[in-house]
Amino acid sequence: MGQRSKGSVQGFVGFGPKVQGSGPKVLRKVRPALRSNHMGAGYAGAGWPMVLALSASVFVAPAISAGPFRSGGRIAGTVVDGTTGRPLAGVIVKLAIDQDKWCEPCLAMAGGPPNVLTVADGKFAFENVAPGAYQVKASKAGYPAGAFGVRRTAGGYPAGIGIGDNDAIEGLIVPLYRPAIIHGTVVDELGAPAVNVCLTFERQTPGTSWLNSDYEDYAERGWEPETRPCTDDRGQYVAMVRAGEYLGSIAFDSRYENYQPVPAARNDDASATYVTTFYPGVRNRDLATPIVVGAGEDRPAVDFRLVAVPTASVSGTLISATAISSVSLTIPGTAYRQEGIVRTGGHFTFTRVPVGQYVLEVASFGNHPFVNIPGRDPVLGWSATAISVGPSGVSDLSIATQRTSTISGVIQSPDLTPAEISHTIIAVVSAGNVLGCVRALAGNEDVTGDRFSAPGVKPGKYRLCVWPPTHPASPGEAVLGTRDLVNVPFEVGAEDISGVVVTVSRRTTAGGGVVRNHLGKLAREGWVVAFPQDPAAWIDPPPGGSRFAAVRVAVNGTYELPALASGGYMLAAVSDDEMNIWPTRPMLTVIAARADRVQLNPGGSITKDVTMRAREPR
Amino acid sequence: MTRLRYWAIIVAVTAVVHVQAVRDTGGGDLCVTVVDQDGTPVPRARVYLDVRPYASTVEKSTDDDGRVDFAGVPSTPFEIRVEKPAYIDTVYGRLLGLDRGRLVAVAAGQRRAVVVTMPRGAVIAGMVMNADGEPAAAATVTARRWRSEEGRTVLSDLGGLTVQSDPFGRYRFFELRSGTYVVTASAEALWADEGARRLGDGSAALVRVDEFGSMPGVVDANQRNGVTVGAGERHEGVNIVMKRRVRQMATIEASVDQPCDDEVGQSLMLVQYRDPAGVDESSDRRMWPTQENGRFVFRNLLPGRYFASYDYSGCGKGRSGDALVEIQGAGVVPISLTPNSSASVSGKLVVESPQGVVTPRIRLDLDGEHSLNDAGPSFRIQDGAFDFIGVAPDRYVIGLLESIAGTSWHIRSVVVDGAETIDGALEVRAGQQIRDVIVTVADNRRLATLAGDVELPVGVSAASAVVVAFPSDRRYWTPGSRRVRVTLIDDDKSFKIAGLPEGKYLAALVINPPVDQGWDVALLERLEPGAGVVELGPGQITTVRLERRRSATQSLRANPPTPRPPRASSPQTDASRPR
Repeated sequence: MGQRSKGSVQGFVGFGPKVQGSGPKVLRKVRPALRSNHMGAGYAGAGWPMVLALSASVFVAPAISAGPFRSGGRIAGTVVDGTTGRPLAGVIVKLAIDQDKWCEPCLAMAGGPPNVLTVADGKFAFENVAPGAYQVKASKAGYPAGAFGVRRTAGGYPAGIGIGDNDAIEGLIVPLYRPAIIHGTVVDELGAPAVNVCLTFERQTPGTSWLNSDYEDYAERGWEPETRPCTDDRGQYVAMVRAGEYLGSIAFDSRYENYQPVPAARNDDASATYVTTFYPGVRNRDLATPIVVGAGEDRPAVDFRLVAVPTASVSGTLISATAISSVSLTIPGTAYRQEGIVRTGGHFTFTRVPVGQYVLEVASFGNHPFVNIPGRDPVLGWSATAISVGPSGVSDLSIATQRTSTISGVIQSPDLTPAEISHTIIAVVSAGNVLGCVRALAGNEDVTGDRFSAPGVKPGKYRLCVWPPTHPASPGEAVLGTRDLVNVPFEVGAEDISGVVVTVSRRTTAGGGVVRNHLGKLAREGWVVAFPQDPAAWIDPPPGGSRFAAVRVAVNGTYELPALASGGYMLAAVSDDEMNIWPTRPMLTVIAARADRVQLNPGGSITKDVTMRAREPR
Repeated sequence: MTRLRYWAIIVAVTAVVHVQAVRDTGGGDLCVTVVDQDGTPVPRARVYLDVRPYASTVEKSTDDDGRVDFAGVPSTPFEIRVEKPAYIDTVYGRLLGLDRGRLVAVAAGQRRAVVVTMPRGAVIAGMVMNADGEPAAAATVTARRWRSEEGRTVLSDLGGLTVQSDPFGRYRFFELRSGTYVVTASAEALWADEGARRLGDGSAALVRVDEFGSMPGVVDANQRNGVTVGAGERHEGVNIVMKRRVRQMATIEASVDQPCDDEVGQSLMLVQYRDPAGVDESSDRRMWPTQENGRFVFRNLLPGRYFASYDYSGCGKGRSGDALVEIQGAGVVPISLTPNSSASVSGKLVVESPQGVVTPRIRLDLDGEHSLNDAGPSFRIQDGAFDFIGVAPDRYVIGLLESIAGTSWHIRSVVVDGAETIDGALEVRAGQQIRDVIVTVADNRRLATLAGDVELPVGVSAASAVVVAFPSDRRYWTPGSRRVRVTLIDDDKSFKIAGLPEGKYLAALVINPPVDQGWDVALLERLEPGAGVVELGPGQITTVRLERRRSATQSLRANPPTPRPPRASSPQTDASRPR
């Protein structure tokens, strides 16, 4: 058995919840060789023994290691109920390789680190762990997934754990938070149980789009589906959810497949239907009452009543539309969408439309949008008309379309050839697309030589996405005068926008340095973030934008920024915990107060060491 | 709704049809009334008219009286399908394990009224506790029903009857067909394959940790016990306590004598036998090895019975080698596979036809009780001689996979060691070479037909009864027997069963049979005393009249278990008498 060092206790960035009187103790015993790490040395050359821990013990209850002992570190701790502090048995604890840090020895462990199963005292231990960066994750049937460092009951990000050969990290407290339970009954309009009807509970997410982990599944700001329980023969349902704020609904729309019971008022012509209903019984989600639940909370009597409404027909004629047009009815604030049929002469019809308020959307194309290349069939005409559909329906509508706008400009580059420039890709994306360019479809641009044109843009708020034609490349920039069209949303009205200047270059910016903790030691956990110095750019920063970056600190205490657009930046080291709210304006405001200011010139590089501030006592 | 659709696969009905006065208008009119097992109208049920093969569907829903009218129904025959949550999806006229419902046609100007009985689903509910004595949330709870399928009683997992316990540890099955169910619960803890991935040198013992439990009283699957529910009944409080299982996994290392040089020409496969009546179905069934140091290695094997088969046929080094392996615990089990060591079945194929020519187009098939035949047995035929090689130990029925084009054939005889075995199972043991099997195929025109009409009791419609023909010799009451046949009765009360081997048969009329159970021996035993006897000669068409000889109310409960019959539709058997 390898000799464990008796090094001094170091600070540690990850803390468990306040579940015990004196708080958890996390000890790090680091052997001297580890402290000799220095910036610029590669991982393998930094004094770390390259232990290929192929032994990879196999574990079963009671938290034992059965494999042959080889050199390596030890990570141990206890899994507890995050609310009560009670040790939890029957928890599968996994030592996961921290995907954000490159760790050759970790990968060399055959198939990855082992699992353990806790017993009554909730304790676990991983022996012979190869030096590297890890996360401790825990799962138990009936609990949402948990991990060391995830303190918030509603989510969070697992803390990274760096370990060297013969290190012993003990006393980790890994909390699992009981799910909240929402349950109730669904009845139809006659009060009879509604059977096999599925509900949707959407959880409000903080919008940490770049943190796409098990702990904060959905990146987008807004409401994301959490669970879809269905009713039994008594009309009862039970939903198990994480703590948080929820919208409950019974959806009958194109977004969710759902069983549509037969309404009581339905006759042979199927002239009644159930419609999407939000808790506590409204059709519009804006009027819904959010349901807020804490970890382990039991929320009964969240009852629903199906709402049946008559259906009717909607018809009319499109004026000045092209031969290829689409019509659809939508309900603002819902996922409801019903496509109509357009016949020769522009006559359109919708059948079986539930009575209610709609927006009739019309789009006219030059070619059929589903036959030709996406992005090459711009919307030439459009309209959005609010209509009210009563029991007798709506007929003889006369809908005129309006022309769309075109955004155009030039593409320039200090170093790319005209041929390369012509392969630049540009897309106009809605500012409401919270993932920015990440999920943008192929742009509706038309790049010819050094000029581009994006026709078919309806009035609204947009951003431009620019994909340079080479790799590596500096993030593409687009400005109209002094306005940054890539990172700051801009309005499009009825007029065309011209004179946009797009700049692409293969000369990338670079930035990096060493991260130290408040004691001056190399930090091995946490993040380094860069964001614009101008607070005006902090409003609704786009994921995937070119002026925000967050990188994890490498195992050897270094960081390396991705290519950024040129400009002035704030640079700071932040803890895992602080990153839970990245990149919100409150967080940026706090961090800016302690951040370093740096200037990145086109194609330039900076080397800047940063310091992780001391953890505030909790 | 997925669950509902899945139910539709195994639906059955009891129904009454009244053909009323013909109306002289274009298109026919159809009135469908849906009632539950008590005869209570079912409002707001969806009724579909499906034109087979599902070319089109018309859908309407029933009113408060459980009734719906279809006007102008085309004369194309269609099936009537009825659905409503909490009820059993029903296809009109699908009885006693038949694979389709009754086709209904309404002639122009005709008006028909159909009453479809759609039973309310039964409920089984309870609680699951984990190994730590706590209510088990998110446990996987499975309900499987004893079901007769052509004479074979198995624990059927048809129906998608798997639910998760809720955060309080509660589970609830509804929309259950009447019958006897076995309920089990499991919670997986550590997966074996995760252990396998992390195993670098194979030296560590792998384990599989999970929790498993079954409802009280289920100690032996062969007892075929469980919770019995009738239509619409509720059985709550079926609680399950799970226990943690730590099972060590074994490894099989197979060495192959004279392996193929060409990897493409070889295959090695390991198949796990599954107990068709077993309550724990957590095992993978088929595995492929990794090659390590010239050996073929199968890891992470739970205790059980396995069959390994190596196919040499692709590289010309002989026939298959195989081995039967019993694994009881951890460790490495070495096996050796050598050419020509596998079990085989060989013999001669005789064609009884005017041409008398054996063509290679005839292919035979081995249908194993454990359905392992696709794991290895390969069929060859040349000059009338055939053989199956790589046959896994099992009980088999020899069948005809492909017949001579343009002609319909059947297997008339399978003689093994001088004894006729066509209506029994052929038992193949490990390494056994069964030779000189004589399989005779004959023109279907040699098969007999039993036809006729029935006399139904007053108030009983043709749609609520079937005719069952079965051999008088009980030795032929075997699973999948070609001599036991069930058929629907036409509206004019006629029936026809073609393709019966010659012999002495019994024929019986069964009224209101269990809705979705196939025949089993218990049913035949109950029918036997009152059934009529008829002798069928080769190629003979025999017409009989089945009429009521005595009235008897008998329970047609499946054997075993014994689901309670629907309250409003006690099954009856009517005696039959050949005309």
